[in-house]
Order: sequence, then structure tokens, then C-alpha cells
Amino acid sequence: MSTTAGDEQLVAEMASGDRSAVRRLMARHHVRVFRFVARKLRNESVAEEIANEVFLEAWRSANRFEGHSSVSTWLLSIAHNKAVSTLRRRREESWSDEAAETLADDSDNPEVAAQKVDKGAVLRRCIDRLSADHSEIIDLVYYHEQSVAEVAQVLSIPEATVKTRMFYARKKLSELLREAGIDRGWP
Amino acid sequence: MTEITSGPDEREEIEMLLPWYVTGRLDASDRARVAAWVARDAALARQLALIEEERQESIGAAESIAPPRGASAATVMEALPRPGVLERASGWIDALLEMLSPRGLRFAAAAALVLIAAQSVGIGVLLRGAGEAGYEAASGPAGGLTDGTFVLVRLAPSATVRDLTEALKSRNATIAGGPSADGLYRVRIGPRELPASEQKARADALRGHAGLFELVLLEPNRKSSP
Repeated sequence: MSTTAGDEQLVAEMASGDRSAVRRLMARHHVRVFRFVARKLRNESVAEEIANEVFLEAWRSANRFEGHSSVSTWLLSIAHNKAVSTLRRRREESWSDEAAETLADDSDNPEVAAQKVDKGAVLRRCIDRLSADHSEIIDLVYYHEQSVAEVAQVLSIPEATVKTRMFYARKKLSELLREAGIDRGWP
Repeated sequence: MTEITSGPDEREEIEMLLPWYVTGRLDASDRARVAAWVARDAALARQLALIEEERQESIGAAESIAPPRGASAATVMEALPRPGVLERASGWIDALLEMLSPRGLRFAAAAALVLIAAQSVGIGVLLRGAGEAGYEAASGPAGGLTDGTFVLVRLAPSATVRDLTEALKSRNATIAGGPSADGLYRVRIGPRELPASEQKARADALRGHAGLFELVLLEPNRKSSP
């Protein structure tokens, strides 16, 4: 998602009370926000609810948006905070991050074994097996195309931490691939 | 970006920037630095292909998540407030509060202003007759919920509607209206007008839900308004 004057205009219209601007902002960003939360929580029904909350929160705080970041970064930041709060409250429940990781570590079934023929499928499965922090930063950088500064804002961490976290996420990904029989020659 | 000296430290820094080089999200100066290193360091250049693979599969993983089948836009639009008396009043209150500080003074002023606004709503309803509701919100007109004891609440930024619903359920309270554009919900905390001490106790009980509410204000009973 890139910064566009159109996004900022929509937020300005929301701040002035134009309800239709919310619908237009959702048309642009709802699916990406939903996918970001779904990948973080690994629960799509809760992700949909949280994604909706993100746009309600955007409506409520539109008059405080000052344009220091892109609208997409602002929305992802709201989504991250809501997802973290949800994880914190629901960590004991079966769909928690920890449980999802445990499930991801299950032995291969025949279907997964067949997928291993495809390097891309293995890589995707290894991405899913990363820790929540590593999976999240991979998603923000590659899918959401957020810059170092933007990721720092979404996650509320220093830029130096963004760079090292991404580096170690990639390193862990290579380790998982090696365990799955694919040696990429790095690191 | 901090300027760094050439050598092993700079190579490490460049290696960390490679993902953003591939996604095109570096500024011009960092992009030029990375490009120069990649041109002379074959190991770094080889990583670009690996990163591109990671990027493609990460995008594939995200896009394999189907968009929600539910009517999300309709759900959100339904939850947005319709322009109403309280919404206009709360906007006016916020504008005045911006001129006030410190926090304690603002809070006291907020309480007084909400009281005045609520009384104005009551007067307006009496003047217009019972056919028009003075408060309209996503959940529909407030008609039928004139009996009882009410508070106005605003959720903390990290709280969700689900948090609110669960907290209210535990207190036998219900949402009677809202949210307004400023995030105010009208909550019914008693089925009839309660004694002042009981009103305060129930409002305090809501305030006791740590991290849930930014604001909890008792609404004056409409029947007692002039």
C-alpha cells in the first residue's frame, strides 16, 4: 500500500463527518487489514471482527490523523494494537498464537508430503511456522511493502530493531527450509 | 539513516537492508549504497534471488486468505452513528475542551458540559413532543429506553465493542445507543431511576474495569429535567 493523496482526502472527509468516506476507505484497505490480522491471529472470524473495529476506530480518530504516516501505515498500526490486545486476552484459548504454532509443527500428512515437491509450497509452509513476531515482520515488509520507518511505527519499535528482526526472521526461515531438506546456501 | 563507515559493519548493515532494496522501499541514498555493494559482492547479489522467492511466497500466503464473506462494510456502516443531537453536542463539547487544561479541569468541565447537553436534549424532546427521539445511533432511535438510569461511556483506545459487551453483561447493563462520532456510548445501568448512591456505585463499578473505559459519566434522568 502506498501513500496516496486520495487516502488522506478520505480521512479528511471522515473527520468532517462524511460516513460514505468510511465505505470508500474500506474498499481500498479492508482486505489487506483483514489479512494482516488473520495472519497474526491465525483466526479469520476474529480477524474480520477486528478489521471492522479498525475502521470504526479510524472513524473515531480521523480528526486526530495528522498525515505524519501514510493512511495504510496508520491503519496497520491500529490493527496491530488491537490484535496484540486480543492475543493478550485470549492467550489461553485454543486458537492462540502458541497453539497455532504447535499445530503448524504437526507431522506431515500425505497432502503436505506431496506439497514438499513444490519448493514454493515448502517455503510458504516454513513462513507459517515462524514465530508470530517473525511472521508478522515478513508480512509487513513483503506483502504490505512497508518501509523500515513504517514498520517501526506499526510495531512501535526502533528502526534498528526492525532491521535486526527482519534479518533474524529470514535467518530462521532458512533454518526451517534446511530442516525441510532445502539448503539455500545462506546464511 | 546514520552514515556508517566502510568495512564489515557496513556489509552487515547493507545485508539487513536487502529486503527493502528488493521491495523498492529504500530512500535514494540507501538504495545507491546497497546497489554499489551488490555490484561488487557476489554473496549479497545471490541473496537478492532468495529474497525475491521469499517475497513471492509471502504474497502468495497472504493472498491465499480469502476476503471475508461477511458484509463487513455493511456491518461497519451500521455501527457508525447517524447525525443526531448528542453527536452534535459532543462535537461542541470537544471543541470547548480543547481550550481547557489541565486534565482535571477538563474532566470537570466535561462532566458539566455533558450535563448541560443532556438537559438540552431533554428540553428539546419535550418541546418537539414524544414522537422524535433526541438521540439517534447505529443501534437505532433511543425511543423505548427512556426509563432507567444511564451513563455515557467512551472506550479506551485498545478496547473493543466485544470488551464493552462482556463488561456490561457482567454488570447487568445494556447499550442503549451509540457510538457517536466521538465514541460515546449510552449505557443503561438500571431499569428505573436509582437512588443517587446506587447510581454512583454502579458507575464506579464500570470505572473499575481497568483499561476498558476512558470516560464514564452519569446521565441526568430525563424525567427530572425541567
